[in-house]
This record gives sequence, C-alpha cells and structure tokens, in this order.
Amino acid sequence: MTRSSTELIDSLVEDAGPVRPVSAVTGRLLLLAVGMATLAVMHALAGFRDDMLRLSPDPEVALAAGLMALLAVAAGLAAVRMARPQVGAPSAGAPWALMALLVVPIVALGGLASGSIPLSQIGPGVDCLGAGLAASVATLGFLAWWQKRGAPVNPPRAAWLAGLAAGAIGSLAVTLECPTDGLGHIGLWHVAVTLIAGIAARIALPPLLRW
Amino acid sequence: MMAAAQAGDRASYRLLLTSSRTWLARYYSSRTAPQMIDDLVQETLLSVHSKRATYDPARSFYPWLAAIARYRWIDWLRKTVRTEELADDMVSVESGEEAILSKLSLETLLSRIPPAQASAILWTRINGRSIRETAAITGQSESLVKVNVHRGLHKLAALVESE
Repeated sequence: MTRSSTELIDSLVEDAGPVRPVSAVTGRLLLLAVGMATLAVMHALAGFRDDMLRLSPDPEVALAAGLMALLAVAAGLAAVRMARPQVGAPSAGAPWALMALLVVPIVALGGLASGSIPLSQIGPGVDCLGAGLAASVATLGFLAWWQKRGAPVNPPRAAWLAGLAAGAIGSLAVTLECPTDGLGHIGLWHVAVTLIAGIAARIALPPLLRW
Repeated sequence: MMAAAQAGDRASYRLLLTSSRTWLARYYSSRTAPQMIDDLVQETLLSVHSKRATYDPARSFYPWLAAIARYRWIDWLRKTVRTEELADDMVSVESGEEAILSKLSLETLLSRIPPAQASAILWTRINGRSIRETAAITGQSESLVKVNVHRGLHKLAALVESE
C-alpha cells in the first residue's frame, strides 16, 4: 500500500460521478435495428427475390439464408456482449454457427469436384461479393463503435466476431436479393462475403479496440 | 458496492477501490516482478475508473475486475515486447521482461513455439548469454538469433493473450 496509489484513489473518488451502466439490451436492439435497416436498404436498392417475398423460396437458397441469419445472430450477440469485461468466452454459439454455414461452400466445392454441380452454376459473382461487402459496412461500423465504447478484454476475438456478424448480414442481404439459384453460386460468392469481412475485421480492428 | 459507485456513492467507491488495490496487488504478485506491481495496480485502477460503466450490476464484481486485470497484464506484456523491438542493444534484458518470462510457466509456453525460437529466447533471455554466444551454442547465425528472439517473444505474447 503506497502513498502514490492512495493519492490515486483519492483523485479517482474525487472525480467519481454517476455513470449509466452500458446496457447489453440496448446493444442488442441497436444491432437489430442496424441489421434490419441494412436489409431494408438492400431491398429498396435492388429488390428482394420474388420467391422470398412470396415466402416460398428455393430450398437451397432458404437453407443458406437461414444459416447466414443464424451466424449473424450468434456472432452479433457475442460481439455485443464482448464490450463488457468478463472471464471466459461468451462466443460459444458463434463457432458452431460458422461451421454450419461453412457446410454450404464445402458441399458446393464437393459438388463441383464430382460434377453434380455444373461449373456454369458458379456464375459471375463479383457484383454479389461487392454488394455483400458494402452491406456489411453499417453493421461492422456499429459493432466497432459499440465495442470501442465499452471495454473488450480480448480485442482479436471481439473483432473477429464483429466481422463475422457484419459479413453474415451482408451475405444474407445479397442472398435475399440475388436471383441466381444453386449452392455453387451461393456457397462460393455469397459465403465469401462473411469470410472476407471476418478476416478483414480480425486484421484491422484490434488496434482500434485496444484501450 | 460497484452498483452504488456507479450511482455516484463516493464512500462506497473509495471502499471498493481500496479493496480492489489489495486484490490486484495479490493478483499481480504471481505474474510479474515486485517492482512492477504498483504500476500495474495503478494502471488497473485507472481502467476500472474509466470503464466503470461497463460493469453489469447484476453480476459479481471480482470476475469483472479479474478480466480487466488480466487485460492490463497482457497489454503490459505486449508493450514490453514492443520496447524490446525498439532497443538497439539486443543483449540487454529489462528486469520486467525477465521477470515476466520467469513467471509464465516457461517450459509449457516455450514448448509451443518453434524450437529454434525457444532456444534463442532460452539462451539470451533466460540464461543471459550474448547474441554471439547464443549463435555459437545453437548453431544459428547472429542475425537469425535476433530474428528468432523477436518472433518468439511475439508468439509468447499472443499465446498468453489467447489463453
């Protein structure tokens, strides 16, 4: 117990005023709002698929979209929770959701290799990739801001989860809009959005999240 | 107490910081050199103060404090590695770094990095040999010893952070 730390405590107590605890519920609601706004903007700009709007989508598209939504929820909730210091990993569901989503490109690659999925099904996808990444930006920006406002004690993991959540929202948005059917196209071009966003966030965000 | 402190109760806050200081000193005593403990305790108390809004009143206080303490410790380890990178004299060993390495269950950690890096760190940082002596002992060139020390220390920091 040194004099200097006693003086520090005195000054901290002197400076202490009421603070409003960071609310995880607020974070979840804001994340939901940003995600829904992203989908709404995508619909306004490009229009969702007719079969999606009729709620009778192609089964493969519906399966992929469901897995993307699952990852967006799991990684997004974990990324929001990581703004608070805590012991242990709060991201338990996100890795499983990611692995479930990765089944889509694995099946696509297997199908392409065996010939059961024609190469032509991959189709041009750079536009989908660009649109998906653009649709990821708002969610990534929100989660980075939320985490920076808090105190993530594992910035690399927090950044990775934020990137996966944002990428999954982008993948979902472009899957709901893109008229191309088939796992060959969705598994490669659309899922790539999630992976690229996750990796980019994992590389770029940690220095910004350190405190 | 922390919930009261968040509401602006200064008496509770003083009590909390004082007991936190004792807890933190004990926490860091098993992780770093004695002369570094007070600096780390003070840095952590400042973090507690600046991030007190992130405490969830529905949860226990000490796991929250432990998470911040661990983060500050890792951050300090990273800074130590960066300081090492900037140093011109690769042989000099800061007392803080040496103490950290001695506390990190070295055998376990060194077994998880490439043998050439582990060997370079072991001879230069733990046994205090010069770069030239280490090069002669390990059969690595002097520049390779330097590179391996750098990369090995980076990997050790990353390993501690990921655990």
